[in-house]
Amino acid sequence: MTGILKVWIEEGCITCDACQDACPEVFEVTDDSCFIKGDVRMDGRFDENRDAGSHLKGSLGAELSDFIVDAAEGCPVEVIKYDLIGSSTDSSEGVEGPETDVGTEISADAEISDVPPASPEGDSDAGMDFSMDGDRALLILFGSQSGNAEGVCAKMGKLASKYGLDATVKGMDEIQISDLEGQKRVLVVCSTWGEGDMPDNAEDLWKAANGVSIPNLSGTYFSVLALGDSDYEYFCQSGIDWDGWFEKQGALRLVPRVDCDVDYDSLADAWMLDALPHVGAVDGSGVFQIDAVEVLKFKASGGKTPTGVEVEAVGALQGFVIPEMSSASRLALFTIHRYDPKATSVGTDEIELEIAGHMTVYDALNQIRNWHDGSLAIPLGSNPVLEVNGRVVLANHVRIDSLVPEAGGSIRVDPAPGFPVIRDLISDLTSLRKAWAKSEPWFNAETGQSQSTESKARVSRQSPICARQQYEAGSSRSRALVHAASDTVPYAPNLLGPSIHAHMWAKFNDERLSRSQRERIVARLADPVEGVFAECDLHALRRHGGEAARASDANLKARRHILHLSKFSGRSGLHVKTFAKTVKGSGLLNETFLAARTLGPLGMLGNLKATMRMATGFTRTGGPLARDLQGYLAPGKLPKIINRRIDGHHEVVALYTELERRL
Amino acid sequence: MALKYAHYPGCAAQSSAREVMDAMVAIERVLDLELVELTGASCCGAGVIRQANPELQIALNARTFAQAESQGLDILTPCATCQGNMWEDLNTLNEDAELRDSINQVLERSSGLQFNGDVRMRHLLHILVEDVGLDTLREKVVNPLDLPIAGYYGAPMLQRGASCGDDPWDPTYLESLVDALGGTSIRTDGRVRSVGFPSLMSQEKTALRMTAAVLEEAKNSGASVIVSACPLSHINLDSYQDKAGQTVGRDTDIPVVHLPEIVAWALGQMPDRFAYLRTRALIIGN
Repeated sequence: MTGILKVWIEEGCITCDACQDACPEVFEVTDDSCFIKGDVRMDGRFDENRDAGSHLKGSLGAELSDFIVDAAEGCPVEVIKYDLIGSSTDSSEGVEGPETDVGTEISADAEISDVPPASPEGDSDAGMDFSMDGDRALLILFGSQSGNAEGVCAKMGKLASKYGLDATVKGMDEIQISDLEGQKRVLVVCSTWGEGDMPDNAEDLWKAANGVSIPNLSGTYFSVLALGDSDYEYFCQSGIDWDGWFEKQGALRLVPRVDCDVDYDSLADAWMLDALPHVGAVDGSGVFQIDAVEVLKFKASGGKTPTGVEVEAVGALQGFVIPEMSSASRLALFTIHRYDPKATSVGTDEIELEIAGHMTVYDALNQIRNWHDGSLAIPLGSNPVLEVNGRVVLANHVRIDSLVPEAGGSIRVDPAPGFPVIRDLISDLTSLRKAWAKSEPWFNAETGQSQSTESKARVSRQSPICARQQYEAGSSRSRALVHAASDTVPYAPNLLGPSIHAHMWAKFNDERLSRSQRERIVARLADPVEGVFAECDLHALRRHGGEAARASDANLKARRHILHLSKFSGRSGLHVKTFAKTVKGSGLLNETFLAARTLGPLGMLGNLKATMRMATGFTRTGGPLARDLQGYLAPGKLPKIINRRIDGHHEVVALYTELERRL
Repeated sequence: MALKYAHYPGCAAQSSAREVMDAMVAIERVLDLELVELTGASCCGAGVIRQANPELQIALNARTFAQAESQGLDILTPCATCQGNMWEDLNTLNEDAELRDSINQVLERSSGLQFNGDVRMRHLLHILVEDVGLDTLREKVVNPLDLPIAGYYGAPMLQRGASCGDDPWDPTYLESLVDALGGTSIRTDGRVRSVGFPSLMSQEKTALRMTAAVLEEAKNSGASVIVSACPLSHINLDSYQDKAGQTVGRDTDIPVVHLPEIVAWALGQMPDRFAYLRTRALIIGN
């Protein structure tokens, strides 16, 4: 079988559509030329791929090779060119590309070796023979500051033998940059330190990598795992840098880079279990044999089925179960919000898509943009917040099969509520950033709030319980997600918003915080315009569950603190106090008394129109006039001046006496 | 055999929205339900008492749960705010055994009651769709609604669990009910948004802007009437409708009625009130 490494379009395309008909997954004919779709390319760009020379993603080169060759052969002006995986004319030839001609018969040495069918249930020994011969060296490199990356590499080094690999684990300070030349397989795990800096043991190697004597890595296959902390602006930057550097030197990325946040274990394990069989499938002569990947996975699993396998058999990842991830394709009707700022037109587009159930909404939107409608604007970044079927979600966390049954269904996608829309699904998060800055996100510690350890180091005095509570209250995958869950935010321009409130409340509870900053936080949280009472309905937050519900809890706790601190003063305090007192008085809420007490005489006068509206009975669908007339006495719908007492009212009073004497 | 529930009307239905009680009585009769009034039940706290003291609100509701439980009945309420708040407190009590024990001790001392967790909270909407059934309702329709009607659910009951079998983020029960009663359901995004009732008196301008958005969307979507599953939100949507329109400077006039009312009317009850609504819808137009 053949495999295509990369494909590109030379000048002279006559836009005849023949290639698009032959292989629509790869080619899209525009008004001027044929383009290689971003969805199949490593660099994700959408152009002729003439200058970039980007490789095809993952196994697409093998899966679509016949169609690409057909398209190239069918091109009337012969402008479609491609490189074969493992051929001598691969990407090392630079931007000018190889001279592989469409008309040329593919030579034997340019082919990927055929591997016997690798059915997990069948005898796959034949498929394994290739991998055990010749050079099986694997270099595992770590750039580590705190030991996390080193730990991942140590684990991987132990696992590698299961894939027939002879692994060497080295720190980046243990090799020279020239040592990389000639390596067939390299796996890199690198953490990021500070503001996008290399860890200490990687600094020198990185300097050398950007020096004058740079190795040619055209025969090297690699993959990178990046560790970082998304609270920092340059999240996983070191890993990103190494990933780009290897590609620039001509190395072929077998598995896309994975960027891990502080809870990296599961992602790192998943990457490891993908990267190892891929580099294992590079045979002794340096040719990547794609069919061998499944065979190696099967072998490493101890001969069990490849999914749902206890990897305990493999050794290092004890107890880790490879979950069944795949899910059948289904027909989904997407209704997508569209907004064109130039034409100021708003509407929706409907697109029907046959899509695998295990893909996410974000995958589907990318597919729609890349294959169906290039004008669709979708948010970028690791946390794209959208409203999907009425729920505010991170679109890359929601699988299609959680929304659409196998028989098919519909999905509505809208931009994140609470923010101005820039175009289509992209929102302007400026208001959130401004609110964040306004909340004094920095930390002023109280003088002397630390203690010395035996080694004379100064450490904070925060108790573990306090630290955990603070982390839980203030942490979230996305501030925008929580902000968008509020129904109040769009109508209260100065409201800081629930995610900022939750963060401020968490910081307030940090015992190390300086008194002056604590006072400023309380003042801001109590502010009627931007504080917690300006959030009009906490239930609206709760209904989104998860982090939004936690933000609602934080808001409630902050309210309680402020109410007791201020002795129920201010309009919000008066409202809560009066509400509770009327319930104590009769067992039921007395709306008349509540309105009169909270609004005061002036407020009641301001409500005269509402009162009149009700009193005329116009909105009361024929209710008795006597009740309506009561509306003259007080604003709103206030038919009862004095409530009847409920049966057993004294029991309610007893509850108040026992639980809340202040009311 | 009649379906039997403990009826918890909520404070609004017993004071400012007596029309809800009128309609509930009619529904009980026509649908052969048996609603046992909880005459000793207190206010649910509406999420307001919780701000001062969460335990107090839970204790008040635990007392109501214990009363229904002692009769072996689930609780039915026509109020989305009561449904949401009481479901939250019920859920808290069921999940936190320690808290349940301590609340039970207080209940025992104050009223001699005990709550064991054997009760469910359900809104009238859930009872109609899940227990009575839309087919049964369709068969009993005497006066088809025959109006374009937008639903309004009330945010508190749109939580997973509180919404019973309905989807809390993309609910359909209200629309299905309107269609079954011979109306034309108008589906709006605003049907699940809050109108800010809990803060109407303390954050009036913001709450009115939120209210106006819901009203305006319903009007612009072609609805002639809004039906609210929450008597408290109804105060914003109806009594404060004019003020909401003035706040945003746009037309928000549209009749807003209660969920139990449209059910009663469609089943042939209180035809004079239904006729009045149709006239109002005609006058206001769209």
